[in-house]
Amino acid sequence: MTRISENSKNEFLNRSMTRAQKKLGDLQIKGASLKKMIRPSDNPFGSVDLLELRSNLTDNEQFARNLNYAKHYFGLTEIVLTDLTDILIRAKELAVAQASDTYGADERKNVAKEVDQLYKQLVTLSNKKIGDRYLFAGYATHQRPFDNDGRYWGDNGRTFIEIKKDFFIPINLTGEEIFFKENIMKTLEKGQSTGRLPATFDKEDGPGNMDRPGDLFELLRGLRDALENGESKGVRTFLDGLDLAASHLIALRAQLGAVHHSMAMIEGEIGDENVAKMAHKSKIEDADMLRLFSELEKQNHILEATYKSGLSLVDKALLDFL
Amino acid sequence: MKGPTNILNIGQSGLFSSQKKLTTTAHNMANVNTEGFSRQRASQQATDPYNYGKIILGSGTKVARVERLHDKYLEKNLGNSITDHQFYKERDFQLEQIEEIFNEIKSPGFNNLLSKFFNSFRELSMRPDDKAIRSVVRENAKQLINNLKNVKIALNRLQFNMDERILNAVYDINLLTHQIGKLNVKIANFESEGGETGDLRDQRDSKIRELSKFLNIRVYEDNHERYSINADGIGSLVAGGHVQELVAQKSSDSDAHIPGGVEIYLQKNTTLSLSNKLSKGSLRAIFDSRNNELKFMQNHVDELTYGLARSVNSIHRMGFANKEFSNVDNEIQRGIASSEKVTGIDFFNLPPQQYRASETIDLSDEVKEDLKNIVSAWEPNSPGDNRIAIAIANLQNEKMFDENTSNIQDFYLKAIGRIGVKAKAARVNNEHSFGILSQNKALKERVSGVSLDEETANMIRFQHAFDASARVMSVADEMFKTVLGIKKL
Repeated sequence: MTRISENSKNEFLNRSMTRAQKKLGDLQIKGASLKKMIRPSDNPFGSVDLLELRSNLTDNEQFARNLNYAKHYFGLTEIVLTDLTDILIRAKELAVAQASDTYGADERKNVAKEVDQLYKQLVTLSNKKIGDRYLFAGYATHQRPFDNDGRYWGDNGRTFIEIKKDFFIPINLTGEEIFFKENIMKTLEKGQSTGRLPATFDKEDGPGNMDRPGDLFELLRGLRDALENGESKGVRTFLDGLDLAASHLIALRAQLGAVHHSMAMIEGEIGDENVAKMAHKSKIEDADMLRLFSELEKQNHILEATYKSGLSLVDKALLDFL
Repeated sequence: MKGPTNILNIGQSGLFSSQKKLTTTAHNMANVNTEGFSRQRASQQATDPYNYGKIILGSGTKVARVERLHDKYLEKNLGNSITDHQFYKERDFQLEQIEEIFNEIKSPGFNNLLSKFFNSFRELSMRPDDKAIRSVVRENAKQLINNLKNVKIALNRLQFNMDERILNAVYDINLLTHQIGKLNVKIANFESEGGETGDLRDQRDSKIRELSKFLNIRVYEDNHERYSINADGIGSLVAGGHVQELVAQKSSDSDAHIPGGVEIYLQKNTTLSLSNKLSKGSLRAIFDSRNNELKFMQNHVDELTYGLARSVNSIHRMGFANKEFSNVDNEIQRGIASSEKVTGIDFFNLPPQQYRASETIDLSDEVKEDLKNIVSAWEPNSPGDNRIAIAIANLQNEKMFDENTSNIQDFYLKAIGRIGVKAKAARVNNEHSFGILSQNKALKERVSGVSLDEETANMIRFQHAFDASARVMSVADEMFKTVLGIKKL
């Protein structure tokens, strides 16, 4: 028959109590934080996933901020292109009216004044700012890109920003692209995955086309001068130019729209990705509240029962009965 | 001898024997809570009978010896399970501490700060000429650097603590072996004079159990009852009264496991390190944790720091500071530092080598003194140029570690996962080996443990026997008086 000594009785009681208390302590920590994990060794692979998810979500937050900035930038560019188009349409209207001999030279001189106003608006628009940076100066954002003659002093730098991992979109149009019809560099490409340092995108030679003023400026100035001269024939030569300029702007806006579209898609994708990632994260780290608290209850009972049963074990001895 | 005297003697022997048995019972009960006590039993034996020619009469009883109830085999098992358990317990303890240094489950740690660092460059890429954002970039970089430094400090402190533990362990070991040696001599002397040494042997066993916590030991008792203890990988620690001391000191060996770490030697031979010859026991666990996991993480943190700083710098140097320059074209070469601080500017102050890089890493002087020296542009005089900022931000994905198979986050997380797995294994093994240890303790208790109920029952038995023998003596006394009374009448 197996002997039971005093020490083995005590040892047994000790162990049961310690085990119950330890489990309870552990559950209480989890209950206080509502997290399943306290340290990586609780769930080694899960903890690695967790940290990765956290940093992915942080990155996505940053990408969202970048995206908003891009939207803002695009928005302003849109407005300018729209206003420019309006200017050209008005100029065209005036040119068409004055192209025939319906009106006289005096009338044309008056219209010239209006066209001069349009010209001044053009200059203002070309130097539009976002915050304290010029929108259409390429990389030279601190320097006024267009002078009053319409000469371009900026460069052809294209700014890319990252709106999703490894996915860059260009956010700016340079002064050259908008105001010089023939000298359009690579037209605005849809958002591209570069995979490699955009720093390899070298700026092309020179800072822009300084030796000749922008075409749009020349158009309006030319129209104004022709109107001042008072000849309808001169005015007629600008009609085609104005048409081409307008369709050029429309083409630009279409391309902007395409980039805008891919931005919207990316935004949706990132949104979905965030939802999935947060769900995954929660599965790893968050404690199931219901289960946790029922476990706590149960463990409390176990501890109580251990105390009670332990008491009866050490309570009585043969000596009591002698 | 015949007659009442005989009966008196027999009664007396019964009395003395019961007394002795009661004494032993009292001794057991008094020591019910003594650590490592093995209960004792006075074994009674009938004395040699008298031979009266044809009749053989008994002559009483005696207590032949007091024996200690003790099983050598169980004791050996217990010793082994102590050694095992202490190994895993120590592993659990050390790995938990290493793990805690890198624990960012609850509060932000390196991974979080790394993410912030890269994302602040992304923020800069939106407004590359912005001063406020530059300030944030610098601040985030500072926090990252501080985290790396603090982690390294914590690891180094842990190494120091481990070394301290080793020193203390060796001190304790030497103390124990000396005590065992002295006990060996005492026990041998007592027993050669025929004395009973149950309690002394208990003491010795207890010291041996203490010793087993540190080292894996084997115990031999030879024919001459010389007691010796050998430790695996070290050799003889105790032989009879002779003791071999151990010594723990800093290693001067340049290709030691861990530079400047404490190693273990025999006192008589301090050139041969015994540290990796140990098997099991808490000492082995400390060495394992220090020379493997701790060292790994120390190197890992250094590699991380150096790799990050170097790659950020190599891109940063290629760009131009956020200032206005005249004289750009021919006079300034991209990537070459000059006194005007135009290009070739470091972001981090790169330590001279990878070893201990995380202890001396810092921001560069240029970045510290002027935010404009944080480069975002590839070309000079291009405030809207963000290409350097973008390139630095994308170092986050660059596979520059592990022979170009891991990016910096993977590299870091892999190590964390590894420590987590090992810590968990140690914890599981700790619990498991504790279970086995408890079992072995219980087995030993069955044989050697004192049961108060049992002793109480024995007490009653022996007391009755005592009463009975006393009664016998009183009867013999009466008989004697009767005999004497015959003469008087």
